[in-house]
Amino acid sequence: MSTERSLVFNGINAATGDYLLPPMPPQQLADLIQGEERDPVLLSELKWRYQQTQATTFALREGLDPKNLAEAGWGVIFAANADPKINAAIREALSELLELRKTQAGPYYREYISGDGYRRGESKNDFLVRHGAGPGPVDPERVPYYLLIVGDPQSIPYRFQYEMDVSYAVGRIHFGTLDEYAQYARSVVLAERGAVKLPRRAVFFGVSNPDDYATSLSTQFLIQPLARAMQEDQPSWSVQTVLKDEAKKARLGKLLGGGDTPALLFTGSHGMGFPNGDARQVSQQGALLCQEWPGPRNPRPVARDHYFAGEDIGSDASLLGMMTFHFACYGAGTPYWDDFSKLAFKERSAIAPHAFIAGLPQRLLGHPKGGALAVIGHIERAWTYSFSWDQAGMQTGAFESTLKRLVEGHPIGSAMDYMNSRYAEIATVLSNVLEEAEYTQPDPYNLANLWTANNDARGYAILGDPAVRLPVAEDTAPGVPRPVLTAVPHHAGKVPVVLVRDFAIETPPTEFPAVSPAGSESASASQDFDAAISDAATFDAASFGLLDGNAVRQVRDSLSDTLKRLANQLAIFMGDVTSLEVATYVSEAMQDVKFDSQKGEFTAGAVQRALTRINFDGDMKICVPMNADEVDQDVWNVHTAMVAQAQANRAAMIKTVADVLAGLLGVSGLK
Amino acid sequence: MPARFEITGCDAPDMLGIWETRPEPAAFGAADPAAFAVGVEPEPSALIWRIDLPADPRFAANLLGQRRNAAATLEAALPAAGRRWSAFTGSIRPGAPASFAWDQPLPTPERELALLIQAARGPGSFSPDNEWLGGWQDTIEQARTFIEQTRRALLYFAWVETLQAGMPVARTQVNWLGSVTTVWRAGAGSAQAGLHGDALALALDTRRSWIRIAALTAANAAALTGLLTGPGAILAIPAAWRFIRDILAEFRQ
Repeated sequence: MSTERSLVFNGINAATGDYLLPPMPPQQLADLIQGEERDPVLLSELKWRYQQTQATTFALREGLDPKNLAEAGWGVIFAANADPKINAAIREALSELLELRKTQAGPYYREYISGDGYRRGESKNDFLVRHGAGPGPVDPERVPYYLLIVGDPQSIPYRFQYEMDVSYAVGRIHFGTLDEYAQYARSVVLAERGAVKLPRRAVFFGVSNPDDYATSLSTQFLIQPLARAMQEDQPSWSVQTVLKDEAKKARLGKLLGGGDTPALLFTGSHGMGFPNGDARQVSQQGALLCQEWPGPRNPRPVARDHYFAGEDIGSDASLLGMMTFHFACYGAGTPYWDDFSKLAFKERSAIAPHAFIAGLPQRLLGHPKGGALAVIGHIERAWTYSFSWDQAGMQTGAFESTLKRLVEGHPIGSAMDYMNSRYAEIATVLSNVLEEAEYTQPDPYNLANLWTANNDARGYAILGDPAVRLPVAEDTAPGVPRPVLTAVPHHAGKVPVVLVRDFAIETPPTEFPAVSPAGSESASASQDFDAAISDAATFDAASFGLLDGNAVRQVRDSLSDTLKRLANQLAIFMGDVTSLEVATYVSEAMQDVKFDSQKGEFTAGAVQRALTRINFDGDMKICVPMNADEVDQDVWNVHTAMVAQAQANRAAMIKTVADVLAGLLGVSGLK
Repeated sequence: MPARFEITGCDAPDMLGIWETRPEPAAFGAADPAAFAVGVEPEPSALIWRIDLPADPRFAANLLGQRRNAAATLEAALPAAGRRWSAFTGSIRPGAPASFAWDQPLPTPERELALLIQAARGPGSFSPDNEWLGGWQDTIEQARTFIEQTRRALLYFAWVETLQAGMPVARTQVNWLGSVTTVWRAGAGSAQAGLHGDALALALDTRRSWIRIAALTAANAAALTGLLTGPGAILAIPAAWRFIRDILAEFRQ
């Protein structure tokens, strides 16, 4: 398999400076894809959606105008299981926006709150059926086309958003304070009422890090083509590119709230990824890695100066009215479960303590001086091949169409319909290929492309009200300076990161971290384990004066020392994993068999018939009797079965130990 | 003949309830003269996992399958134990006065934990003869024994022995890195190979579950420390261990 045909994935691990996922040969990914489980209900919906696309219709019922909320409707969805007081406070903070939408949507305005809200565990169909809607074109009389989810993705999962997005125009907001809700609401209301008239200017920001294939592709095949297409198609717009050496953090700062902030910003870069439970994960995962990053040949922890996160936006930033589109891993948010891990390892594993919205969009939307109206980004990892398939060439049609609709006055949710249709189409084609694969061997490269594109297309999400539009000046007007929010009533109160506590899955994280065969990570994990145990067992008995100090100390030491010894053992295990041996003996007289523990072999009546040694790098050595006639097929079958079992056990053991050590890293609150 | 699933050299009951345990470091095969003879083997601290199955291979395979399913169910219950722990302890504010006014009866694990936290924060004091603390002595010892047993299961070779109607089929020594050395009775067929393979898998699955339980105990205990003030902190590890044990017991019912 040639190196250049390996699949390259976006995303950089902040802790190591390495890729979040290693490049993978297509055949390997194709094998995994064919074993993936698929949801028949969702597939059916996607196929219907795809057929609609072929007929060039849209998700909204025929004859209804998606640009008119009085026809399309607008609704807001809260988490039914959240604390009613918190929901009420959020609703109050958003009241300005809700009143506006109520006026605009008239009879097609809905509030899904309390028992009508999203109930935990519901699928799209569950929710729709409960509210009188089924599959098919969106009928605003039943459920409005534009739906704003208000809540964190742990309480109202991203999966629900993906599913709803196939037919509806869905956005989401969740902030840490009531003030941010109120500020966002005011920003949207100002824009919708015409107080914001931005110059028609779009900037395309393309990072291309040294030696980095992924960003080289995204700049060449996504950012630059999109900019060219918009220049040609929208003569009334000023379109600018900021590429490669110009695409540095300081420049991005000027485009995101600084003096050079456009109406529309499209970025292409790696998104930052952090280990599960890392203290920076919730605030900085999905931050945009800029040109300063020296590339994959310098794998070291990524410097803070190399990426742009929400906290890099100052309190004086001027953002009001802008929209941004971030092509980057985790640019919009991070789910709790790792989809790729489920596919690759047949087991769900967590990639974060809980699902969350990325910090950068949150800051952009809820800014106190007036925020962005919407941010489009990616949930989970973004996949470069979705816009560049080597046989079909550049694939930017959906992006171009989305941007075209957006700059021509469609609400963002309607504009994104192209992206959602693309997801439906790819999912349908992928499904057909997989069905066919049961009979004929598919082209692994094609299959891998489809799968990556499917995941990529599904993962785009709107953060913000899906009914917002770009508030730009008329064709010939120059635009006016951005206004600044003033006199937004103060709404005191913080909002929980996770609204519905039952969903707050905190321990044990079950990610599958990269395993280093020996050394520092294991030792570090062991030390952290010690710290966690010490936390659990340490107190100074003498200071209480109530217990016999020696007795307490004895119990404490006994428990914590036992745990520490176990931790050390686990850490050593990770360092010792080098090779695997499977030896098979046969004996006519089992009662006579002895085991020489010094030599590690059976003696006295046991005859060795086969030995397999597998090194960590995959090399395998097999010893069988010299005379081929002596190979007993039954014994050989037994031996090969034991080899397979030993390998499976080794893999399971490594995973267990890795999970355990990773979980304990989280416990001790590490970095 | 009923099947036997037995671990010898094991002081604590198997938390998964899959195996009977025998504390004495019985010599390998000593219980059955027809079993493997004692040579240089095995180290006194090694655990011996012995499964004695009926002669009928299909019946034997069925019994083994039932145990493996039970083990898998309990393994799958561990994340639930973590979530329930987080959900419950997360609802209690560190340092806040103990107040547990529940609308409905709590399940046993949560109730026991609540009582511990309530007692640890209450006006009463711990003392060596405190009757309430004394009630924890068994739990403290069981938790310690379990963790020590898990460590031993990792530290020393595991010996897994499969017999049918008391006659040895195969015996495998697994080192802690997973390398295996197996001696088979001459003429053992594919059915016997399958049985021993399943027996080996059951033993190793159990060992991994023990590791996860120990780790979850440590993680949960660390989280509990902030909620247990004063000498109550000493009970963080045993309380965390007992919580998991009780959850697993629920799943076994």
